[in-house]
Amino acid sequence: MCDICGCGEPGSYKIRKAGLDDPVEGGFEHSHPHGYDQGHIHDHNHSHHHPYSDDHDHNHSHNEDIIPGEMATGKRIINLGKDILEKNNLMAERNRGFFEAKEVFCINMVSSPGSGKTTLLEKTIVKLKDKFPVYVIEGDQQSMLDADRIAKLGIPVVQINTGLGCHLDANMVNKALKSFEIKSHSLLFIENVGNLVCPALFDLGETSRVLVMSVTEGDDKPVKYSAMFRSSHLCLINKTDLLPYVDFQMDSAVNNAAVMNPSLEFFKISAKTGEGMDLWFAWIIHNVSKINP
Amino acid sequence: MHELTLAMTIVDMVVEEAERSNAGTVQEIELEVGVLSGVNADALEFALSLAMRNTVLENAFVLIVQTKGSGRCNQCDRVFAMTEIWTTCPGCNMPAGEILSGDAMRIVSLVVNDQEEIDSFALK
Repeated sequence: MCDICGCGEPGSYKIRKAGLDDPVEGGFEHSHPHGYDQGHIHDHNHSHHHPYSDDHDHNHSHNEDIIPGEMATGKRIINLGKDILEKNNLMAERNRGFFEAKEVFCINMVSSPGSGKTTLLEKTIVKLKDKFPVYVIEGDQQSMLDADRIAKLGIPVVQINTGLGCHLDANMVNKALKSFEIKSHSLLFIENVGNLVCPALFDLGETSRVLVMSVTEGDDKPVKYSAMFRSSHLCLINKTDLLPYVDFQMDSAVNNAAVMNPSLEFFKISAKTGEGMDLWFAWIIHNVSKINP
Repeated sequence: MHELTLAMTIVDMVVEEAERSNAGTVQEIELEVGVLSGVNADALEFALSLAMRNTVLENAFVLIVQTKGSGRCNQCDRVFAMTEIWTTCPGCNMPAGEILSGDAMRIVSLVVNDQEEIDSFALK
């Protein structure tokens, strides 16, 4: 959506390369049919939702004058039955096909804000960049801060600014992919917008979804944000160096998450001190070599 | 917040369909939103009222039908009703291993005004 007024104009996200001022894709330039100075009067028709489908059958029509098969002149019913996420899911599959063909191991990193994703990425890239090519797509609402940090490590990075958007979608990732030339047998990190709610719904085509939580967040997080925990493959519990100072019950956190997603794997790490990071590096190396034997 | 993205997607899909089927304006849209879909129906309705502006959906009546959720327990195979994604099995108190229904988000149907009919009336 447009980040000026939320009006839903297209092209409201920006894809930028570190060191370049102009976006390589997307853009905010569009005119607004309505101005704030004119006031914003628009009445939309009433709408309502029905609590549950079993209160009535599905083949109803809502306005008295519209009866299926006996429509008022010039009116007709179109039965669509289309999944709202269809387009995103199709694009996600295209991305997935690209990763498979190129033998790219793609990690979608999701977390709440401040869990330490970017520091974790920096440490991981330094360790792995000599083993295989590493690429990063950064997702944030605003700024080039994260991309600039990653660019300092000398690897290709693209920043997607989502504006008011709270998540990355498969289309943004697809466009970002085209702005750098990804070599075969490589590793791609997508650092999603810090948000444990919305990104859960949007498949990006990733090979693996890695959830980063930190011990400063509370061990009840898996219960509160179960959709994200259900859809992830690996959970990194970061900032273990702070455990002596916070009321975080590690067993409780792991149990809460494991109940939501019995197949979820856990690594307890501190990106700052390096504790537990070897397991995480080994996990990546194993997975990259698995698709690239 | 993702409701606004979804609302915009819905509008795009409907505009595309209206063009394909040579419809004029959309009078009514029926959506199915499962209680386990991760979408808040109120937020979606509000987002739609914004996203529908200046489109063929401008004056459309929005009907959102929420569908019930159900899941199957991994431990005892029981099928049970779920009102939330974390609803646990009444038998063994475990979350559903598999969600069977209530996670869908679909555009069910549209009622459209026929563009050709409107034009032919105008000619008369």
